[in-house]
Amino acid sequence: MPTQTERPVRVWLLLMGLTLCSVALFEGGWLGPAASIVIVLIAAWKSRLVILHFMEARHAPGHWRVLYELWNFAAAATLLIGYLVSLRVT
Amino acid sequence: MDSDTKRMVNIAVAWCGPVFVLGYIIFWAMLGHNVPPPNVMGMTPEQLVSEYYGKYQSEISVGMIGCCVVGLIYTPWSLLLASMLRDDDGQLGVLSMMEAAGGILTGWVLAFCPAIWGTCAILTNQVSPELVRSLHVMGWVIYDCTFMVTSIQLFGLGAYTVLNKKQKIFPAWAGWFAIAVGVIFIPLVLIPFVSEGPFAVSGMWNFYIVFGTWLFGFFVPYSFFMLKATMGVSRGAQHTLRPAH
Amino acid sequence: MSRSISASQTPIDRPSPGSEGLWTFVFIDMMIFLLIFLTFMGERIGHLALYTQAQGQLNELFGLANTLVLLTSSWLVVEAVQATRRGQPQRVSQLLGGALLLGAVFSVNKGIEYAHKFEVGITPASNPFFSFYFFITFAHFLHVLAGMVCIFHFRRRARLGVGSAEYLTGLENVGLFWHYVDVLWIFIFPMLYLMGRL
Repeated sequence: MPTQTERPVRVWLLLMGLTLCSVALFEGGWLGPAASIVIVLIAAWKSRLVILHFMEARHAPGHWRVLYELWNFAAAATLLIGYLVSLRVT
Repeated sequence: MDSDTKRMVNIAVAWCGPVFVLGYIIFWAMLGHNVPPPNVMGMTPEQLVSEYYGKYQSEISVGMIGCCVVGLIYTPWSLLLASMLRDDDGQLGVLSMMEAAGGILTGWVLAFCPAIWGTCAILTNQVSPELVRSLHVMGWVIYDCTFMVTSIQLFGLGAYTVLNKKQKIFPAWAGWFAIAVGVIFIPLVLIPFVSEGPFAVSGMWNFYIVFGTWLFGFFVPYSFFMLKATMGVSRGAQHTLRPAH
Repeated sequence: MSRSISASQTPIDRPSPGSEGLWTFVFIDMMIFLLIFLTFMGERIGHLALYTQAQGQLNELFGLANTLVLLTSSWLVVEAVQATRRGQPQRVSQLLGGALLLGAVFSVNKGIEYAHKFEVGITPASNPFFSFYFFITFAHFLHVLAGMVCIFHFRRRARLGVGSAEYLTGLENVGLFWHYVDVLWIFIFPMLYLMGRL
C-alpha cells in the first residue's frame, strides 16, 4: 500500500546526484569508452527509482510492476548492446 | 431486411478485410516490387527507370491496376467497423464518423496512388525519365504525407474503444494500439526531404515500421475482433451489432 | 468510486494507485519508444562515424538541464499526490504550480535548443542522426505538453477536488504519466547526448 512514510525528497536527491555523476564522468573524460556503459546502468537505476518510488509501481494493480521493470531492463539492454556492438564496428 | 440476412451481409463485409490484405500483398507488395519501394529521393530519373519501372514494367503495370480495384475494398470494411462503434443510444457519434471518413479517404488513397504509379509503368518507355520520376514522387508524397487520413480513422476508432467501457467487442489495449499507430505515422512528413536512413521512403522507420505496425498493430487485431463479433453472434439474437448495454 | 477520503483515513485502506487504463496506455507508449530506441541504436551501428560526428554538435548542457528540471518536477508531483492523500488542497495547488513552472522551463529550454540548431542550418533533414534527434525529442516534448495540460487541469480543480477518491485517482494517473515522461528523458538524454562521446 502506498505509505506516507516514504520520503520522496531522498529519492529526488539521489536522482539528482546520479545525474550529475553521469555528466561529470563525461566532462572529466574518465573511464573512456566505459563511461557510456556506466551511464546507461545509472540511467536504468534512476529509471527504476522513478518507477518504484514515484510511480509507486510496487502497489500497482496486477502485473504492471513486473512489466515496467522488464521494460526498464529492455531499454537499458538495447542501449548497452547497441553500444557494445558499435565498439566492435570501428 | 431480416436479422439473418443482415448477419450474412456483415460477415461478408467483415471478410473484405482479409481479402483486401491478401489482394494488396499480391498486387502492391509483390507485383509492385514495393518491399521496400525504390528509394526515389536518392535516385536519378534514369536510375528509377532502369532499376524499377523499366526493369519490372509488366509486373508493376498489372500490380498497380490491380491495386486500383483491390485498394478500395478497404472502404466497406472500414464502414462496417464504423457501424460497430455506436454510442449508448445506438447512434454513430463523431468518433465513429471519424473512423468512417478516415476509412473512405484511406481506401481512396490506397487506389489512387497506384493509379499514378501504374501510369508511370505503362508509359515508362514513352515519356522522359524526369516525368516518370515526377509522377512517382507525387504518388508517394500523396500516399505517405497525407497519413492523417488514416490517423484520423485510428484516433476515432482508438478513442471510441478506450472511452466506451461498456462495449465488449474491442478490448482497450487494441484501442491504445490503434492510437499509437496513428502517432507512429508522424515521421512520414520527412520522406520528401531525406534520401537515406530510417526516415527515407524505403527506410526502416518510414517503411517497415510504419507499414508493419499498421498491419499487425491495427488491421489484424481489429479484423480479428470484427470477424469474431459478426460470425460469433447467434442467429435471432442479433438485430444490429450494438455494444452491450 | 464516489466515497471520499477523510484526512484521518490511513493509507492502508487505499486501493492501488492510478487506474488500469493508464498503466496500459503508458505501457504501450513505452513499447513504441523502445522500438524507437532499437531502431536508433541499430542505425547508429551502421553509420557510427556520422552519428558520432553529428552528436558532437549537440550541447549536452541543454540535455542535463532538462533532466534536472524533469526530475524535480516529478518530485513535486509525488509530493502533490501525498498532500492530496493528507487532504491539503492549498499545498497541492502550490506543488502542482511548481511542477507546471518547471514544465515551462523545459519548454523554453527546448525552444532555445531547437532555435540554435536551426540558426546553424541543422534541420530534421540534415542527416539521419538529426532526423532521429528531432523526432525523438519532439515526440517526447509533445508528451511533456500533454502532461502539463493535465497538471494544469488538476491544479485548477484542487480546491474543490482534494478529498475525493476520484480526484486522487485522477492525480495519480497524471502523476504516472508525468513520471513516465521523466523516465523517457532519463534514457533519451544519455542515448542522444552522451553515449559514444568518449
